[in-house]
Amino acid sequence: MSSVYSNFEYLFDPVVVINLKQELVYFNNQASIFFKFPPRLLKQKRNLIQLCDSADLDIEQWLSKALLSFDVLISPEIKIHLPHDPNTEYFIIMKLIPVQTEGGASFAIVFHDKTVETNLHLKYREQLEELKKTHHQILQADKLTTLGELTANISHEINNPLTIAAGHSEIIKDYLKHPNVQTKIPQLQNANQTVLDSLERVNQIILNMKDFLHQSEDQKEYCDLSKLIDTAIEWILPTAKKANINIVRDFKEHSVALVNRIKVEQVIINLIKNSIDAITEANITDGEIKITLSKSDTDQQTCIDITDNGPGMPDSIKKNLFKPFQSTKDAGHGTGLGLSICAKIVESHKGRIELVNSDKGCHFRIKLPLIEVYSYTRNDRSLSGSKKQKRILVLDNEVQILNVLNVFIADENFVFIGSSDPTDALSFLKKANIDLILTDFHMPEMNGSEFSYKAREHGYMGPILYMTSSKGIDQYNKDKKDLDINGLIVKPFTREDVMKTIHSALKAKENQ
Amino acid sequence: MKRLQINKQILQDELNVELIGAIDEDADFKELIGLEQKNISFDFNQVNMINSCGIREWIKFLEKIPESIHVTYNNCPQIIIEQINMVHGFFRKGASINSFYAPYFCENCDKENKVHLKSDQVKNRKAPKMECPKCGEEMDFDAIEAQYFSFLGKV
Repeated sequence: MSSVYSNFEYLFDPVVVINLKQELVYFNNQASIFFKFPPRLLKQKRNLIQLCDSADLDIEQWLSKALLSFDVLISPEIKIHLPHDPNTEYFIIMKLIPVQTEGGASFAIVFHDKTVETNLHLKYREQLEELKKTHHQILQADKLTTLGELTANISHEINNPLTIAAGHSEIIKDYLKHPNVQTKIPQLQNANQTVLDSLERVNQIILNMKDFLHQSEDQKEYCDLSKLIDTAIEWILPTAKKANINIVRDFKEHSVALVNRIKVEQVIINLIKNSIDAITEANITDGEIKITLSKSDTDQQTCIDITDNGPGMPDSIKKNLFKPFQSTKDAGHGTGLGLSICAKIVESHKGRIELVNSDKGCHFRIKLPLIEVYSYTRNDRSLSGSKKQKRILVLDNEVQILNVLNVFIADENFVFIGSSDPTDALSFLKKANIDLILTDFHMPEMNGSEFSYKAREHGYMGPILYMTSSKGIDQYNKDKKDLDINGLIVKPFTREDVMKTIHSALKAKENQ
Repeated sequence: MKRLQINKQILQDELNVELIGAIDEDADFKELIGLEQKNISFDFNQVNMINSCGIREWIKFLEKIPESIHVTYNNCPQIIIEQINMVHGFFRKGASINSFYAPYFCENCDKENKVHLKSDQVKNRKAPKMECPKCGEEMDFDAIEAQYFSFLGKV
């Protein structure tokens, strides 16, 4: 046996040698094992095609090209089937090495078997998908648990308006029997309105329930956090009332966040519900839960603090507080998943949840990044890998406007950075390169002119567009010269209005 | 693929283990830990597949068996013999292979046969002469003898 061949016998990998006509001239013992041919049969095979078959690569053609180059060549990973085992998929990489044998110039083909690795990878992806589904189901189950625990009080909440509606229907019935029914028209109208209002209240409660349970919830939108917290409080209020617990709200700031509304509601409900349970279990008579909304300028975060005057929390629990299946409640009360789910939800918003204090009562803090930072990192990351996208800062105190513009602008592959607070927007402007600013004119903290003045003062030289009603045209005409305002989008606007104005302003800037 | 099935039987000083199916990444030999007797006898007759992850699990398991216990391999199919020949640690030091299958070919019938052999039938890594069960003609050994029987040097 040639010394080249004898060396191949020591290898762990299957090796075959072919001549320039692609004829098999040698195989090692591993090749016999891998291709599942005894040496007796392998000797009879004329070429590689008779050993394996691949739909991914024309092996014969690949070899023809490779032989011409007379260089070391590596194939892509390909899926093959073996004649003896046609139902199993094998994954291999071939390495073609020129060798000089007694028979002249030849090529050794070393087969790197990737079957186990590839199958494990596929299995891993499959199991990861299953895990995601399970996680989603756990989230849903937690909501159902919360809803189940609140149902008794919600029924009570529905019963109240229903009783009122039923009572006023009786009143209407009586008035209609009155001999001078015409004289009772105002009372009838009043009773009718009360029935309608009560039914509307019932409808609202049911809509909230449906909304809360809705499963397709991966969408994030700009939300007014005070409204979001109020909705969560509305949910839990009947339970708190029943337990004689006072819920106090202290919203120091108007704050808009880019969140999944339902999920963040779920977090707040969970935390308040935990506080209610703790206060109730400790038989505290003047129970109080305080919810504070504030902004921390130092770390660019919005903070939601939930503080109760319950018994606090033992040190033993604190360590694993946000891990699954930790519960201070008795069996049958709570799944022990609530806080771990809360932590996951907040983390998915690039935020944090922490226990600030638990010596006297519990104080939890949810920290969410300011929308400018979050929408920037979120949108910019999603576009990474593509060519550099223009960044558009949109400033409006109305969340609905931000949501609409987010759709328009992000659809055209711009990086959308939303802001509802001019001060935060100015602070963000210092840190990021912005290609265009679109600002509302009438905002509570400062108007469009004041904002644009400060933006220019900060050194921002890019285009600025105003958004305002047609009444704002005079101000625009003035600021056009004084502050170099580049365009006006008149409310109400269409997608075309917005996008054409943006494109034109950017183009004009480029041509300068 | 179906998970490896492990059947076990304890008779006096012997733990008999029958392995059925694939020894792969899902193979779990945990259930055998702690059941060790003086002897453990593994029957590989129904093992139809083994991959590198399964080999890893197997070796990890073997390492946990106390050295004082004698391990015997029985009815090893060709795929197991190939692993024993190739992978260090697959065959535990001091263990013995009672029996295994070897590939033979009958030219007369043009048929491959897996012949069940006892280890002591193989001398000097030479395949013992075998007759075709169908025509009675002597069969050829259908692998490279020096390679296939190299495991006997380990015993």
